[in-house]
Amino acid sequence: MLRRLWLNFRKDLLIWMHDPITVAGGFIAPLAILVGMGLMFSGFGAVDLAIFNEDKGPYGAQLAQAIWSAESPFGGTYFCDPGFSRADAKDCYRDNYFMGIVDIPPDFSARLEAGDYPAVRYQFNNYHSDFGKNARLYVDEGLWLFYQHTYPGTAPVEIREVYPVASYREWFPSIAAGVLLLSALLGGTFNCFALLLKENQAGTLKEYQLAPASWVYFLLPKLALATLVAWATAGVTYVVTALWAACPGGLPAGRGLDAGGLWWQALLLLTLVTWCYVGVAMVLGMVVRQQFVGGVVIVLTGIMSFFLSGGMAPVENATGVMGVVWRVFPNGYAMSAFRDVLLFQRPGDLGPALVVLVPWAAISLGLAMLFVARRMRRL
Amino acid sequence: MISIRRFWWLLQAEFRLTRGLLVFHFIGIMMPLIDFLLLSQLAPPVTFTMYTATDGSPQAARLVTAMAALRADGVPDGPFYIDPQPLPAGAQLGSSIQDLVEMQAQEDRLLVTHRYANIDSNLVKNYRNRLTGAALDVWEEELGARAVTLELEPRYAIEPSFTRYFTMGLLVMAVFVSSVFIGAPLVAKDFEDGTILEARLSPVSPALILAARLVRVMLTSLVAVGLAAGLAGLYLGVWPSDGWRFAGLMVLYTVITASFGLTVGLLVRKILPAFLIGLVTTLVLWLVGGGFALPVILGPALQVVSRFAPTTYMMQLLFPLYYPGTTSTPEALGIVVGCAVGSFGLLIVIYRAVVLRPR
Amino acid sequence: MPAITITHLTKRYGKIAAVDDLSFGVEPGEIFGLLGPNGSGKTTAVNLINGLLRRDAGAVDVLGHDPQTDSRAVRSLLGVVPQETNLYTDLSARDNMVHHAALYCQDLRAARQRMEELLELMSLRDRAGDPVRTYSGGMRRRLALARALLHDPPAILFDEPTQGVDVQGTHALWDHIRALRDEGKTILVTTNVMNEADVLCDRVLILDRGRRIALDTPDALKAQIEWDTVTLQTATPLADPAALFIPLGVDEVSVEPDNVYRLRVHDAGRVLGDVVSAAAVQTEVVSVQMQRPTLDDVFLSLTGRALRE
Repeated sequence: MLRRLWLNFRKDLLIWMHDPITVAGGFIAPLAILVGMGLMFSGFGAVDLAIFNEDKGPYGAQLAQAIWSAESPFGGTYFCDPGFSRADAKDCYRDNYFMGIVDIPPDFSARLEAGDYPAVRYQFNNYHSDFGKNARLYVDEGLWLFYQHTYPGTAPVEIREVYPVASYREWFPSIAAGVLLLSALLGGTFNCFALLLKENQAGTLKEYQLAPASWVYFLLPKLALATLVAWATAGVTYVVTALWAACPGGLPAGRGLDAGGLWWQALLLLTLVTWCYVGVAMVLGMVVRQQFVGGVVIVLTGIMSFFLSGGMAPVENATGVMGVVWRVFPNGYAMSAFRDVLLFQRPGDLGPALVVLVPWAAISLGLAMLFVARRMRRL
Repeated sequence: MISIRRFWWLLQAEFRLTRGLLVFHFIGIMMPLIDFLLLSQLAPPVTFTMYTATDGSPQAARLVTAMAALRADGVPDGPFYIDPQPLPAGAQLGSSIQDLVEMQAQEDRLLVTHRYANIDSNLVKNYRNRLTGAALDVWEEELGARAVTLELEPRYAIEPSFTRYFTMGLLVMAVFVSSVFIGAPLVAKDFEDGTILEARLSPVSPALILAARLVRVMLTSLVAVGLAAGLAGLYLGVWPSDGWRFAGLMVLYTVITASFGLTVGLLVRKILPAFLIGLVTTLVLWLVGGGFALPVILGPALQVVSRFAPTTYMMQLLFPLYYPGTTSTPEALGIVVGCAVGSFGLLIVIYRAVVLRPR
Repeated sequence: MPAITITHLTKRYGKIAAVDDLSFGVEPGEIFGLLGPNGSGKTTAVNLINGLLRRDAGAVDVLGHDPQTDSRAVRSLLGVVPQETNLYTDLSARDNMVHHAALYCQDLRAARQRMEELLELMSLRDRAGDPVRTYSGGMRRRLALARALLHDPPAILFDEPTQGVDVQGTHALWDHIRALRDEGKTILVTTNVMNEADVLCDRVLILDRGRRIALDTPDALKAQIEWDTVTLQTATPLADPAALFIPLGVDEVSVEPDNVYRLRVHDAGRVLGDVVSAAAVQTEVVSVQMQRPTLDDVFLSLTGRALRE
């Protein structure tokens, strides 16, 4: 029996390896999302703020320094000095590459020492309310620092920050965990769908239809290969995320994904979620006539599941429509435990995830295999 | 053999080919709309509810008042940033309570302990900035004339929510996605099915054949952007201030995107890879071009790249239509026109090399 | 003056010459066949004529135009039915014809009527509104032919016209091709089916490995072969068939399985009776066939290989 399974698995592996489209198909969409999300949400480094200090005294420079050095919980500063000339800064601000321009007048220090309402001019981009809020409050952080240096001991409020964890998860690694799961399910489903469709179109399905051996020898190797490809695709995404974390301007080193000794938990969750979708892929492979139709359906279903079921941010506490929609996709049940393992190297709460995913995967695969067998008229 | 009638026949024939690529038409038109509905959920609220636990002292009350008064200054009806709420009895940090501000008056100051639930660092930053802003207002009130006055000059007279900017990004995305998702597979299918031979052996001017295909993709993209603009208008009440200018800009932009989509199809020549490559390049060009957020959030290298993306200038041209009282950069229109001419020219060159040149 | 003239035509792919110093002319109003096995250069020759391929040497003239320098004129004069039927399978026959008209026809107003006439001629009118993917192989070939005729070209290139078509469809297509010839059209047909070339073509050029092997009418080509074949099957094996038949004037005896004997003779009509009688002395004669030379025999004699080897 094992030999039969191995021979069929080997055949499927060879076919898959000789079809570059099928090989690439599972990788491209998740890597595109990873790159896209990385561009949007990673390396949230300092934004450019030009400060032109014409102050004759020392306080102007101190104010500029305070604004540039105020630190963000991300681990860097809010602003950086672009070092441009006034003309270039004006152009960059006009073209939306700078957050703003601060002008400190010549009499700033004099007026501060005299207690005569020292003022600075602040032009800033407020193209939407959240950005405008950041522009204002980031400078407020700088002012707070400036007052601490300039008027020590006068603060009427002392703020202590208390965090429940040693370090917080940043948004991009959190998203990357979602992309990792997406890449696994896309890799596995695309592989399974493409192989089945190929057999259907080439007529080699007849070999199995007419064979005395059980249809199990047809489907189990495909499931095994789909699982392996899912792992491989996830592996590629894992490596890309690690490289991104290591690049200058990327994430601070070591802030990528790392399952540590709990890699088996991540693999288990990833495999179960993939199996939930592989069933769908099997049905598609038997039903559609053209590869691009099925390919598009798979890619888009995967992308939808990513966005709607916790790929971007936890959804367990979502309310309203989102609170209902996420439950339709298996991904959502795995994401919390998945993130706990990959971001904090601590055991996730597997119980609730397994209670849902194991039966879901079993039913999905079971029904799909029955459908395929029936389609092959073997039952 | 050039005539209006022939062009009309070619155009009709092009539209009939929709039947073979219905999936892509559906995706190309619906995807931006669905993305808009999904991603607009990500729009962060400006007003955060922050729970407070105070000792009832006047100092604590003063800070709570400052929290409630913290708002977007410099614009009319600027939103408030904090909605301070007393911690409900029996409630604790976690799930719905994401942060807690505990206030305890001391002799000479108010000691504030800011506690957070297990949330991501972006949320931590948001809560912290708000508290700092409120605390700064309290300090500046005490400093009086010694406090630094910020003379605010916001760039835009209105400061709308993120969805207004994202509407502009959606419109640009609608054009781009529909052009590439339809144009690339349309051409690739001809190669896969062998029907490219009809164009190869035709005595009709290749410019006419190409023009019909380009116009066909452009028209579909214009329908897509029309639907997107309608959705944004009805859902958000956001309409372009000058409909004719808007239409003209979109026609110009569809030349660029349709040319790009057809070029991808000519170079790749297989449907599914053309779709996937189109997906990736569209997403990247849209992002670096400021479709999701201004290029200010990009690193220096990507800011340089964004200067080469037509999307960047298209977004600049849309600003005056959605942000009253603003103007676009003077060279933006020239660059977009140049891109349109250049992309169409490149399409012709590639078409000749791939389709017409004998092997 | 030939309608299509090929002079010393050569096309190489690396070291391999797909077409090697090929010369021939196709007269107006004839059906000219290019006959050869797979890979002999037939499709390459066709694509050099219609301008899809660039020639490495030689000259091509299509009704006074060179496809390399005057491609647009050549395309308006040629109708091409390629080997792989390139129809829009999601569209109906009528839609395919409209698309073709937009790309090929000079007079669009007249094209609609001509379209209906051609669909009627090809017996496709009743199904003209159905998607092509529901058509049989023969229907698709007929539609491809109708489409190629839409712009009324004086010359038609037909690459393997009956590939994938059943017997009935094949004969129907042959009838259409002959009718076109009778209208005065010049037709070049490529085929690797010996019988098709024999039955359909006025003249046949035999091609092998890109080179011209022979060119003449089918009858003249077959006449070069001076022997016939008699195939005899007996109930039980014959004892020493060579000694039995050769004295009767048989040139060569081949023994095949199932008691089948293939005899090469100069004039089958003269020796047939003697051969049957000689065999009947030993055993029962189950069947006898007499065959005149075929183009396959011509190919074999010229190249040492069968057409389908």
